Amino acid sequence: MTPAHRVHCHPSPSRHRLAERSHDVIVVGGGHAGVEAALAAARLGVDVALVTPRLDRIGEMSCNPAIGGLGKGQLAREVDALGGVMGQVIDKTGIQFRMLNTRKGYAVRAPRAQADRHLYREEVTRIVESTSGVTIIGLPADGLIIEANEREGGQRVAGVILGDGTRLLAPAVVMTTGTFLSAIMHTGEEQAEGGRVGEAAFAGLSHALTQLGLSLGRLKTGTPPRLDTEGIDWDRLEEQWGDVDPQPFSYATEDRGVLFPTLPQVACHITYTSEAAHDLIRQNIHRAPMYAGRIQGQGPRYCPSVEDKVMRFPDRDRHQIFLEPEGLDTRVIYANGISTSLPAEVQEQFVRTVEGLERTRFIRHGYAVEYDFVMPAQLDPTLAVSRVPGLFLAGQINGTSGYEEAAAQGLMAGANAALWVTDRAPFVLGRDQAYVGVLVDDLVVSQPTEPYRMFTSRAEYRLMLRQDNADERLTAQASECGLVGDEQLARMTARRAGKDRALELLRTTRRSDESGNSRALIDWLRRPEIDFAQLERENPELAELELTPSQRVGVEAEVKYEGYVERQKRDVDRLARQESLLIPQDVDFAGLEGLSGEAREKLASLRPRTLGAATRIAGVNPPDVSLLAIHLERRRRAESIHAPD
Amino acid sequence: MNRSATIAAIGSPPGGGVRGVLRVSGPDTESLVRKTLRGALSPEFPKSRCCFRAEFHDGVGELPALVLWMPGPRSFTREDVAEFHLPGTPALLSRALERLLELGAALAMPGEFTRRAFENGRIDLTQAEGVLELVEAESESERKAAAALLSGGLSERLKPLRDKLDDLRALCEASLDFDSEDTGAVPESELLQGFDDADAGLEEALGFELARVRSSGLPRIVFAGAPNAGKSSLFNRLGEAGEALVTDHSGTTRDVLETVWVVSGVACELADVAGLERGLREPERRAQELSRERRRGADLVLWVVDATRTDEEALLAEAHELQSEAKRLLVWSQTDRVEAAPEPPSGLLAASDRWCAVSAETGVGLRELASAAAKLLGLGAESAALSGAAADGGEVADSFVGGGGLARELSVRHRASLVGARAEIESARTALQSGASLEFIAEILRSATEALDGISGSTTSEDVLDRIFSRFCLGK
Repeated sequence: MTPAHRVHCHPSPSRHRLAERSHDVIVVGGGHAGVEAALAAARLGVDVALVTPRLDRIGEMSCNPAIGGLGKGQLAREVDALGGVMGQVIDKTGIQFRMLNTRKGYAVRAPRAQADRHLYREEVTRIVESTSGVTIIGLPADGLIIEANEREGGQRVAGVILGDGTRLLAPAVVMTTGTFLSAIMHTGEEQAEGGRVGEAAFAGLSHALTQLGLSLGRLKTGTPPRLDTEGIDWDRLEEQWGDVDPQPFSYATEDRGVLFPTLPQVACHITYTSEAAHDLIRQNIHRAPMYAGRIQGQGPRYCPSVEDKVMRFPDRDRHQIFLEPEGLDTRVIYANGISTSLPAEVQEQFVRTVEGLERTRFIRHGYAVEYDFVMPAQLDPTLAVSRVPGLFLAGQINGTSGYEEAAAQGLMAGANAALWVTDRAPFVLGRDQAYVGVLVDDLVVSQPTEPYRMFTSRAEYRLMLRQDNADERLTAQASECGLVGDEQLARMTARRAGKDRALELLRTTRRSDESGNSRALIDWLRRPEIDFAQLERENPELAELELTPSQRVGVEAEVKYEGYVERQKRDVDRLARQESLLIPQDVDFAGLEGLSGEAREKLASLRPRTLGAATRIAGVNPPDVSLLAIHLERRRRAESIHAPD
Repeated sequence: MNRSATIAAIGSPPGGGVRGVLRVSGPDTESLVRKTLRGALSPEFPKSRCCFRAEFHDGVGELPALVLWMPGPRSFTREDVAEFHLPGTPALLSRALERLLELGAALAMPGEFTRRAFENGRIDLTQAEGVLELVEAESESERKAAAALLSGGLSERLKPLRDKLDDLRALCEASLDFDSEDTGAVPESELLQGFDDADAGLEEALGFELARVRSSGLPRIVFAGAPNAGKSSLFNRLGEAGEALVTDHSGTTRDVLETVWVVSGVACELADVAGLERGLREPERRAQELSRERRRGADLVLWVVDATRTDEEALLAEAHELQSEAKRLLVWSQTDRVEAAPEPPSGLLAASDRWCAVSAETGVGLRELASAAAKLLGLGAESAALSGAAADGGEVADSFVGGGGLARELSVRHRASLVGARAEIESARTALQSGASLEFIAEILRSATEALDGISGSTTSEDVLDRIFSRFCLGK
């Protein structure tokens, strides 16, 4: 919705100092954001360096061994539709696939899969290594090379200083450093520097960002204990299997008819905390870093530590624990639901009160990580830092949480870095087009106080942004800018054609109802109790189309959602002007009369780029937006009268 | 406009009265108060509101003054505010104002106190729209309509409504965005009950809004008086609508009924409201509030008193209860009843601007009533002559011409929003009962909130998430 050519506030460096660059784009970090950033930039034909201190951690799942989930599954599907690799990798390395919320509507359904995290990492590493145009550099990044910006004044990024002192030059740098900026890990009273067990923190980069004048914040996240499968009394626990007819994440997996799932499928198990565990936690709560005041950063409310659950919801007598295998050939079990930073011995005591875990052995204790992030309101919609040309940020460094959120940002930041250095129009998605658009748009006007996670309720056009139609929403656009190839586009077109044939048949085929009236199949399908599969069984001509499961769901959703989707489209049109009305960067909010105090402060610090973005800032209310709109209109008129001499 | 200036103006209506009010607001208020007052003042003014007597020195002589000290931010403008209540003689008041200006105060622009209140976040959009109306008001009637809006009647109603809608949506969203193990199923009955509550609230707000500016721009006349004093009979007799339900039971009128009454050739809005009563339960108390609001925005109050009553003290208390700045016409009613007194006691006459005796039953005195009302509203013989034969209310007197445009426009917008929100609630109910999935209910509720957001305030998805997290413990 944002006019693409008006997004970039800095001229492209393409005609500038070309001789000196060693690469076009440097990506710092090899996590889910870094990988998608490097691959997206490479797909756009630029020369990319991926800098990571650990070659054996590319594509690492640092926390839970799973991809997808509510809101996140939609993001993962979109990353796939935009040419990213997350979907293909999980399809190959998943050991349990489930479609969540199938009993609720199509728009809130989302895929989720357990991964073999070792195979997942290996597959990601293999893809990155085999991608031409990506050079992997196995060294830490110690700092940024900053230069005076000769053309515009101020500073610009010119490369990265590596751990061995090497200066790696590039006009654009994408930072995807996750939780590693000035990171401290907490387990009870113990503290250690580092963003992940066994890996160092990067203080140098935090310092470099502060020197650029960027404002940083601090957040906390946590991870649960990893248990040894040997000590768990599996027979007493409730099993949870994947879907009988599992659906892949990637459209490619579905289209190519490859064997899916590739790996043997396994079960997760469910158990519960008990009052005894809660008592132990309450008795030791003063030893939890969050409660002892040793952690300043705020943790996520949607993924609370077990101590938070117990303290905040005292009337709950139990909390669910999902025991998720981290892979096929590993003894490590991820205890989802009991993220904790209590002292190691307390963790062991309370876990052993849980049914089935009485004899369990800890492979690793839970811990909390506190880390720096960059206040994302300093970003523009291409995920570039507004005041520092050439610097792009993606993933947890922007205050988000989750592999899917990271991958989505990485893809967008990497693509935009590549587009910028080659002087092409930026790639920006609207809130009505993708969860990716919602994510970026939310970020650029947010001041996170907890890690930002995607929820379907964040998307006002949720009914249009379904996991089944991610390809139709995004692939053509991605193809136009070069992010996806012709083959992927052709497959999307073929899928659409299949749906159209089905819709045509539904409109033209008629069947009599109970009272003998002839009705088109499409009217049958509009009934809540009738699904496409049932019509397929009763009408061989439909079955002959051999639609894939995602096509079937797509057709069903289109028919059943018709009225609502039309309505949302009208809303999009109605708000289009407000959405895209640019707020000039020199507007003086402090001097704007009539704004409420809170709105004035928020607008001045977050500096929304469009009127639409201003409406989404908490504390900015419709009267404030009206005043702002009036001001912009007055200004526009004044400017058109006093046109430059 | 210079925000930091300290402003002053005469706050009482022009034309004089027993008391006049000078109002001052801004950072130098305290020093201005000190410079103008004679007598022992404490070295430091209190941090909370207070009221004291002092002598106001206007540079020539001294005036007895009652001073209201309202330090910011707990004042109407959120700045330091002082009010001097002085003798109401216009010349004295002007001199006192001049004195304040000599000492450095700036003369307040029309509506500037209220504008400051808005700028400082003291009042919200609907109230601010009242300000707009006030500032731009071309006529007295508009000023009254604005006053009714400023009283916050609509925004007070909107807040709980929006809370209700947000709660309902949070309930749906929690179940959509999280595992049902954590949130449980959403009971249909809870949603339906919520829809009922929201709908009732919307209906009430709509009624308020309809009543407020239904015929803004016309002189506004409101009945007052004890239950069963005969207001509704008179209303039916005078008005064109004739729709008020009249019974012998007291307290029959709970809603505000309106009609048009042609006075001296000028169409006036006549409203019948609940009688004055105390110590009531809902919904009677609500009806009392509605009546009070109407009186506040009125140009003329018809104080109807049953001529058979002899309890003068109770009647005087009733006069006090009216709480309206509007002109007051005492209507000595039901004079057809045998035991009726020929004229009201002098205490009642003193509490009224004029009086007349009528019988709605026989029609005696109705002509005199209209003429007294015309005099009090300033609708003289001239305007009656001007309108000539057009005594059907087709024309209005000069002082009321040209008004109402803004107020009416705002009201149309408000009502469209309220009606829109009601329609959404209705479709949410239908959708739920026909087995639609919760994402549709959430979608419809979002639209309903958006409709209300058009009036004031806004809900972000963060607000809804906050509600979810405060209610549920959410894990995976």
